[in-house]
Amino acid sequence: MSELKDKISEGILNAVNECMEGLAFMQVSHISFYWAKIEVLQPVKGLLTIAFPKQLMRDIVKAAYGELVSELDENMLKDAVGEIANTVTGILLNTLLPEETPFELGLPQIGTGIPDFPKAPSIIQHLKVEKKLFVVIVSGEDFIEHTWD
Amino acid sequence: MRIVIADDSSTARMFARRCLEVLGYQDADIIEVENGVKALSAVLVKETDLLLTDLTMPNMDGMQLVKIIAEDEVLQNLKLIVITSAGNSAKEKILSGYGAAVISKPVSPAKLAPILEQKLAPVAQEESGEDDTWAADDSHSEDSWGDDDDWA
Repeated sequence: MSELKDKISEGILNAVNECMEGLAFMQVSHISFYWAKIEVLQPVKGLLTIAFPKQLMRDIVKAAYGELVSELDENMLKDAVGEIANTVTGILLNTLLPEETPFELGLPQIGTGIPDFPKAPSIIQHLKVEKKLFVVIVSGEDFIEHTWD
Repeated sequence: MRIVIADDSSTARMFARRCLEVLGYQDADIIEVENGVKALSAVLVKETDLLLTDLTMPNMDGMQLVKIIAEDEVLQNLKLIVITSAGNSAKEKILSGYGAAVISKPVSPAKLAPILEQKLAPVAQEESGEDDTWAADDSHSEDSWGDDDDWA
């Protein structure tokens, strides 16, 4: 199954490249992400996924660490995307929920590559920082269709 | 002064440490741990002045950690600050009951300064030998740390 997926992925890249080269003399390449998922456990079940293109993640971590670090390693980048996802989810729930409502979050799930897009109902936001795109997905039927009052 | 920072994220621990350093605690002995069990060990093995902890951590979460510390005869005077993304007023009430202050992530010197002022002023004063109180010293006023945008 993985071989087939690889074949299709390569086919997509080649097809798009051929089209773009012919149309606009432009080349395309794969983009890979650092992503993190945070499960919302209570009061409703949901999932927040945030995915940054690798170069953007490097830029963010460099800016965050400043002079504290000269070289970035993979663990720092993965940890940072997890912490960002964690913080964003907390701020979002504090915004959506009535003041006295407690909530619980799971521990971050972190990875590289393309995150699996959830099958559940989702809200997808394409955002930009420093002119570079990243994506935030909030998913889960309970979450999306919850009455937040 | 000895400070323990407990968070499963090294990024979060770095932010907390940096805030402490900006606020004048660069000479403190700062210990970083990644979960509640290690935090408890760290505060038990050596007298500690302050614990900064996240709530959501593996191997004992922050709520459990705070509860254990607050109910322990030896540790109950340890100053507690919870820095969390999973906090809200409901949890704040519970944590306040255990003597912990709560700050929402992302942490910044502007957010941390008044809490430290409240928690550590007598300790800072004794160590520095200064007569002025932390609050009365303009260089440590909240305004001088800028707002969160300046920090960013």
